[in-house]
Amino acid sequence: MNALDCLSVTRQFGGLSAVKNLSFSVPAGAIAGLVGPNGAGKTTVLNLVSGLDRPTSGSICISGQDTSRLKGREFARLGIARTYQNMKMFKGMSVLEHVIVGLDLQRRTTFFHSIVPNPIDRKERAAIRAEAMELLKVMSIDRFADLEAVTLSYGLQRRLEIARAIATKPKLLLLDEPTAGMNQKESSEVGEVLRELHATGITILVVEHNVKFVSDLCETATVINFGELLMTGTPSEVFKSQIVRDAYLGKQRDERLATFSNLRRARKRSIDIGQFST
Amino acid sequence: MSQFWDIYSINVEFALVLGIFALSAYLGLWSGVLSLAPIAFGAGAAYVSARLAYDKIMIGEANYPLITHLIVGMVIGGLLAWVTSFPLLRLGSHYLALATITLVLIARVIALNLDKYTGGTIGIMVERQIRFWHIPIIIGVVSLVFACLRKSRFGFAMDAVREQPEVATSLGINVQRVRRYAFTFAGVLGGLAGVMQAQLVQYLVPETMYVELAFIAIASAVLGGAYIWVGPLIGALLYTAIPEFVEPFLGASKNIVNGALLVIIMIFRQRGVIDPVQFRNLMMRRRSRRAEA
Repeated sequence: MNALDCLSVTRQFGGLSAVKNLSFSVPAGAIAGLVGPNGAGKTTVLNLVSGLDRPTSGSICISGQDTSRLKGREFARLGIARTYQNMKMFKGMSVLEHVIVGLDLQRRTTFFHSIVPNPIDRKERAAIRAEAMELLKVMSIDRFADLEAVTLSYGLQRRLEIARAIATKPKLLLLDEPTAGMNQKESSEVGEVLRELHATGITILVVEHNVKFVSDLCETATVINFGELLMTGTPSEVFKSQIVRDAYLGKQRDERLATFSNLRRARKRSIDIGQFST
Repeated sequence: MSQFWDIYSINVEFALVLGIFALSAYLGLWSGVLSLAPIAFGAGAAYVSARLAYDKIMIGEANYPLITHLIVGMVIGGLLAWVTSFPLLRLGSHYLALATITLVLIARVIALNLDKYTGGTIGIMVERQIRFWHIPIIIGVVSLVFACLRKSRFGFAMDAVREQPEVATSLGINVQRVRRYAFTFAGVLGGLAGVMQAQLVQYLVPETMYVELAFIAIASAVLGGAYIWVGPLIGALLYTAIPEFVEPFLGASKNIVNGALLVIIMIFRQRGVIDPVQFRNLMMRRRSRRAEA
């Protein structure tokens, strides 16, 4: 069974189709990459899959279940967790508290347990705290447990974000550019962590720019451009393909640049002529 | 000292009750909702409690005990909040804030027009049953609840909902429900404070709990610090005390100090007088320094 099926999904923003008739699947237990140049619609796809946004048409199935009627918060129960391109940390909360919030789905106490001191709540708090600490250890950021999260370095915040996401015990983990702003060493460490997570049975879909990271980590790569599917295959196939290279390295951009320099040349010539005539 | 107490004990009482109003405003802010509604719920609760007492006294029986009035106030405040939360919380933040102001305005119109029960513009007498020492006890209980709430499941959920509602949703937190519970609990506190306020004034007219009090409650929460429950209490004390201290110099225009203070706080300490994050960072620095030594 597939962890994720997108069936001719379209998302329009006014006149712009950010995603156009896109179909692709991620088999359960895979590490898949979703790649494409800037503005290709990768993040929009991730927003659609995680329930932050809804497709204009088409359907998205998670583990075979249609998600069009689900509320935003029910996606977490279905086993979807995600990270964000711009991280979205809770200001004023410590590293440990971020993971505790991520563990909220597992807690059984009610509102009334929260406002009156009682042994059930105390026990649960201790258990949740220990579990959060465990998750911080998995991401090897337990040293920073009591620091305010927004004061951490970029790379550490990325790790914390993954810890917060996996606290919901997801089946499908969506990562939006997990290595953005990281150096080579940090990004290979993140790759290592993701491989370990994958070994525990989590399906992972990564949106990435970093070609090396995707080729090292992913089993399959799906390339989109202008919201449309370009091709799917193993990373080495995909990155060798001429269509992908053109899209990724910017054939259109070259053309645009060419027109631009032609224009400039033309304008310069006219200015030169102008100078001659005076 | 005792002379000082004779003059100012009434101010302290009002300050502490304002503290409860400020805490109810803080509950809204905690879940990312700017709401003046608890004042309206407080007015509703106060009228119900006053009416109950009035009817009892009219037929020549003894009034209900204080605890009954407080519980009735909390139940009425909570019920009003629960019912109004369904339409109100559908609104986005700014519109919601405006709608809650409107609620306070509407509450006055209702109180004026239901003059058969509320006494209209003439108002209704309230028997003062609350003693000074009751108030610190009530504040203590409320503080205990807030201290318990701070690091609880629900407290963290409110933090997350205030800072990043989208992320909270994607972590499986029911944002709407968290806000509804916070709103209702704010209503319960509003009801409690409303009954206390009416007993302190000993007279209830539609203007007793009106927009002015609502704004003072919000201002106290923001001034004291809207990120930990101690903040609104400190804010309420400051808000009441500072005008009294400057009265010898400024006379009748003493309240202008509060406005100025609020502006200064907003410029230099946007998180209020009491800021838990700053405190934590301070403690961390001290601990690391000790570890180095």
